[in-house]
Amino acid sequence: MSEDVDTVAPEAVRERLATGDDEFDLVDIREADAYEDGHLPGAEHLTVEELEDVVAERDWSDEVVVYCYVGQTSVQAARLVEEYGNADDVASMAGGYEAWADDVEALADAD
Amino acid sequence: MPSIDDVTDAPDELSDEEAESLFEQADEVQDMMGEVCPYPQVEAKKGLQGLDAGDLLVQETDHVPCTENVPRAVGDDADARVWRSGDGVYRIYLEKQ
Repeated sequence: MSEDVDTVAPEAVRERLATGDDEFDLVDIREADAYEDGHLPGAEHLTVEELEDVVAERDWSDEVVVYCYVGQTSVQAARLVEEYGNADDVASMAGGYEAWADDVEALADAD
Repeated sequence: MPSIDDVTDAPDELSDEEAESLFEQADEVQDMMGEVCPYPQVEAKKGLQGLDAGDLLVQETDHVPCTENVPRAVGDDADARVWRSGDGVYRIYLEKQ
């Protein structure tokens, strides 16, 4: 069994980005058209296949957050970075882009 | 080369013979080639709803994470096993409980 990776809530990612914190790598592993339709600020797009190609060679930030549509495939992708990359902390964003979009929408409604 | 397969917790694996034999007995086959999560999870749940206990649903996929995420999504509704073709095609066998 692979070890389960940490998860991070979309709210926590949003709060970090709001403070201008760009000291972590944010990776969107959804399909390219979904990324083009909308993504988290500063997120880099890598497909799972591209991630497999670069994960071991790339110099990762100390912290990496990976997200997908609903926070499931990002668990395996985060494990891949944790296993083969040089980051200290790797997390999957819980609930994925859907949860992020819901969080942003709720925030907008509250304003 | 690093592979997502290395870090995917798929259920028990079927031999080629078991996989072929069971495939011929499948009550429903879902072609999920080219599809990514969460669509296959949704289709697996819908497919199982239309089957009786003991029936077999097979999903064919080329998206490795599905081999972990689909069995997890259906939970106790099905007993899951996986077959790897060796050339990038996977089958997820779900026996409805």
